[in-house]
Amino acid sequence: MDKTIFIVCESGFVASAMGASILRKRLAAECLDLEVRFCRAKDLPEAAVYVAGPQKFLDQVDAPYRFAVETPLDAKAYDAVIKFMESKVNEHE
Amino acid sequence: MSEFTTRERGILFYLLAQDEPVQLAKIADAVETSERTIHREREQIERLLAPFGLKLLLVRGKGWFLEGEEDERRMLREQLLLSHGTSPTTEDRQVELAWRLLDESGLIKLQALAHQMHISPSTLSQDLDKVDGWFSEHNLRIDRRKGIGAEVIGTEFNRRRMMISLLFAQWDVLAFFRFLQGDLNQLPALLQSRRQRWIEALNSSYALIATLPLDQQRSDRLIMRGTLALAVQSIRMFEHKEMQYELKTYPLDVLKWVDLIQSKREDILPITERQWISEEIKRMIQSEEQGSNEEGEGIVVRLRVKKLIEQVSLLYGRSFLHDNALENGLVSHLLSYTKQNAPNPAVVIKQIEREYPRLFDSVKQAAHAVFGIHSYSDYDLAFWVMHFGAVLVQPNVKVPYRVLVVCSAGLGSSKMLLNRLRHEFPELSELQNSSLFGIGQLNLDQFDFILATVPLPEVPIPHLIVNPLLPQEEVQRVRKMILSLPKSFQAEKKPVKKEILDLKRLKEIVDQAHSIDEGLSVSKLAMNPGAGVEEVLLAVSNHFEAEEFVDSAVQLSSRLLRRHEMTGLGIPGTTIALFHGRDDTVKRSSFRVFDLPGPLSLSSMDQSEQSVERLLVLIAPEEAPDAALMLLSAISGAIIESPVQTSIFENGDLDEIRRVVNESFRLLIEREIGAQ
Repeated sequence: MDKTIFIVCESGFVASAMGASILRKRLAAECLDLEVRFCRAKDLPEAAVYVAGPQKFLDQVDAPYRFAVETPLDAKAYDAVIKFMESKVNEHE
Repeated sequence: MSEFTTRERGILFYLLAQDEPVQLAKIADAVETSERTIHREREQIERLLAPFGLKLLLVRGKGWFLEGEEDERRMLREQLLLSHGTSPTTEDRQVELAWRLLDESGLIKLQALAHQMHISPSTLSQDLDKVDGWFSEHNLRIDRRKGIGAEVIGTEFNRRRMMISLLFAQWDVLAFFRFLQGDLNQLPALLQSRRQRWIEALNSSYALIATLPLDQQRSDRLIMRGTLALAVQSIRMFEHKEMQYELKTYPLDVLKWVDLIQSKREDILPITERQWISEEIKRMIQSEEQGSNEEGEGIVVRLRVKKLIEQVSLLYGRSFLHDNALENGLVSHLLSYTKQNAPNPAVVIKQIEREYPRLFDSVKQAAHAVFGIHSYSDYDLAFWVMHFGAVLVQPNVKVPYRVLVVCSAGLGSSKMLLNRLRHEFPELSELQNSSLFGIGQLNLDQFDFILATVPLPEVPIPHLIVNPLLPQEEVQRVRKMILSLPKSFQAEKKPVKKEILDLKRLKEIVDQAHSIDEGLSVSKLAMNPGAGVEEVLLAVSNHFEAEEFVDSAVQLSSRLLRRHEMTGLGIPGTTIALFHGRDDTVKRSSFRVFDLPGPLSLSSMDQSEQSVERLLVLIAPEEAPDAALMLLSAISGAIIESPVQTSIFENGDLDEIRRVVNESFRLLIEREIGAQ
């Protein structure tokens, strides 16, 4: 399975960078071995499968799985991402 | 063909096992002699090597090296193996000493003994110290009197038992059966002094044992034991060494067998001798039922193990000698042998067969020679192979084990167990404890095995229940389990060859970091405290323009404003907001801090309203280099890294903020060059 979650924002170096930092900590706590990367919505690699960020940026990207996160500094905002990725990992194993 | 002395064999054997030149001091160490002695052996060694086409190479400053083809080395190895056993080793000499002491009923003069054995009094004295332990294992004692002599103190029963032990230590099961088939050369040196009497005693004893209704499964070793017991009895009776009678009862089975043996003898055994046979038969039956070795077996097993290691070394062509861990491991394995709790070695064996294809065969052959064909099954041998394999791969230093320790509350007993484990197993570098309840929350795959003081629910990884005090026998069980883990046989991961350092990229990062650091400032905006957000952003942008970070302050301020209108930028729970943007007008990436003249109400990142007193501003060119974006991202991350760090950005002065920024750059650069 693809093991990278992308976080997008407008500038690609503030909200997404902070969000990535928070999501990484949560993944580590859940023992999920996944990578988190971040970038501007318009720089998102074509191969990206899992993308999180504010809805208005998600609307601009084309990826199979998109998760709306409107408050990037709130760890709880990533619950849906974690839950989904957990089930993906379990399914894969 | 060539014959070798013990020392020559030792030296040659050691050299055969080396892939590169070795210092004389090391050789001397291995064969337990002095460098001088080794040096004196040089010519003789060269002579011995000549017929094999091998050469002794003297490498200046590095020592000796055997030069020759693999075939020639193999020939020498085989020759050494064939000649092996013809000359006595140190252990043989000590066994002989012990035997002589036992054989003598009174005081034995040490001077005379040394003379008889062709050794110096000081060697004799050292050997006496060594065999002292063997005697006490058999509840006997050597009484040494300076200048007079030595005497064995103890019962006839214990003397006989120790004699049997010594014979076992000296006599391979294989050789024993060859002897019974008529090969009299196989009689051990110990029995040479009364050769004829012993040959008769052994043969007639075997004739008695062989008629017993033994099943085929009974091991060769037990038959040998029975034969030796009767033979020793017959010799000792002949010499009028009498047993003490002790009032004891025996199971009916035992008595029936004693009667059977008596019925086949011409003489009538005294009651004390009947007791000796009863004890031996009881022992035979017990050891058959429990598969265990009992008291006095310690030295036999140790000496046998030494032989085994020697043989495996010869057969495999690599020295396993002088590895105390291996020797102790095998001894305790053999002594504590029980079928329960033995983990399945099948997986590990496959691995060993793959990586060390001849090892299993070598161990098996050696085991047959030393312990007899049917003494141990392949399943048992598998464990021995693991011990040898462990030497080859040296498990404990390579891959650290991760262990979970579980007790019912996760407190007292597991803490105790943790301490014991740290003491006994320094290689277990990662130990974690948990309560029984707590293991549900853990990801067990992270651990190599679990040690518990309470019964565990079904767990998917190897586990053992142990006494929290971890007595020695449990230490052995744990050792055995560690040895059976596939991980023990994984070679250390080779360090990944480092990629070539991308200096250009590194320079780019450092240049950008330097530029951002230079531009870093904390300034107070001089303006009307009631100014609105547009006014504030224009003032901020003017600062950037004045210092030539941007071409147009107006363009930057409108970019920052648009971003602000998109979503809130205040950091919740603080008085700071993080304005940022990428724009064509930006020439250099920058991070600056501005204190507002008065609080400004702004929306925050969690979409509420907050009062802001300080603006953190990050700007980058539209087409910013990757390095700059990485650095600015690192600052963003640092701002929310921890409450302490957040408060430095909220209240800190330039120096404090610069320090935190610098640290985040350091981490990034370390990651970049692979220092983390």
